[in-house]
Amino acid sequence: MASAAYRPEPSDAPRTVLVAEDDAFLRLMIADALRDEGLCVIEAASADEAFTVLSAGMDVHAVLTDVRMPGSMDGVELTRRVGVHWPGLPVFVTSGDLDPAVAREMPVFIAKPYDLNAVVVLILDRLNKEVP
Amino acid sequence: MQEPARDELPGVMVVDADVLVRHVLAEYLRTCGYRVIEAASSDEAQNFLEHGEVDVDVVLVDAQAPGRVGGFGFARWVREKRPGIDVVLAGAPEHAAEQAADLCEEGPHLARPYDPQSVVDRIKRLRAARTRVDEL
Repeated sequence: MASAAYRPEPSDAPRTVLVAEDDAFLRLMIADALRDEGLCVIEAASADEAFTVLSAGMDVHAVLTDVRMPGSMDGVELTRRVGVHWPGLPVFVTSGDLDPAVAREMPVFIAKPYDLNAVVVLILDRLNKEVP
Repeated sequence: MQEPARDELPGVMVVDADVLVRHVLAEYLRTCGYRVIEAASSDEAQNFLEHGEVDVDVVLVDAQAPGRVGGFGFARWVREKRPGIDVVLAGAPEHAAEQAADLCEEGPHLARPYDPQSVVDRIKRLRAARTRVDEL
C-alpha cells in the first residue's frame, strides 16, 4: 500500500481531486464543476473505491468525500485512513446528517446540500495555498 | 477556435465497477473530445438514463458490471428502451465462451481490459454508421 505523505506539486502541474460520492448525479455535477476549473477529477462511487485509488499510488492532491456510502467503510473511516497513510493530503467531508460532534473532528466539513461553486472555491483556495 | 460547450460534445457513458479501469478509459475519452459520464454499476447507469439530464450517444458497458440487472442486462435494456443509443458490450475473453449464445444476439464483445484507442475506433465506427442510417 502506498503510504507517502502528501507533497504539493509545482503550480503548473495538473492537480487532481478525488471525489468519493455514491450519488451519481451529484458526483457528476461536482466533478464537472471542478473540471471546469482545470482540475483533473477521479470519480469514486464509494469510500472503498477512493481508498483503492489512493492505495494504487495515483497522484491525488485533495479528497472530497461523502460520509454515508455503501461498502466496507464510510467517509469518516476514509478520512481517518487518509490521515494515517497520507498525512497532509487535504480532505473535505460532506454530509447531510453527520453527528455534529463527529463533524467537528473532520478536517473540513461541508454540510449538504452544498453550493457547488462554493465547494469548488474552497478546494481551489486550499490547493493554491499548498503550492510551494 | 472556441472549444465546444460540454453539452455539444458527443456523450459516452462508461459503466465499469473497477474505478482504476473506468477512470483511465474515461480520461482518455475526454482527451479525445467526448463528454464522459461514469457509472460504477448498472443501477447508476440506468438511473442516469431514466432521470438524468445527460445526453448519451454511446454506452460502453462491462458485461460483468454489478447491479440489479447487471452489465449484460443493462446493455439489453438500452437496446430495447433507448434505441437511439449505441451499445458497446465489453468483457474479459474468458467469459466470452460462456456467453456465446448471447453474443450471437448482442454482437461482438470488446475485450476488457480495454485498449483505449480500440474503444475510440469502435465509437467512431458506430457513430459513423448511425449518421449514415440517419441520412437515408
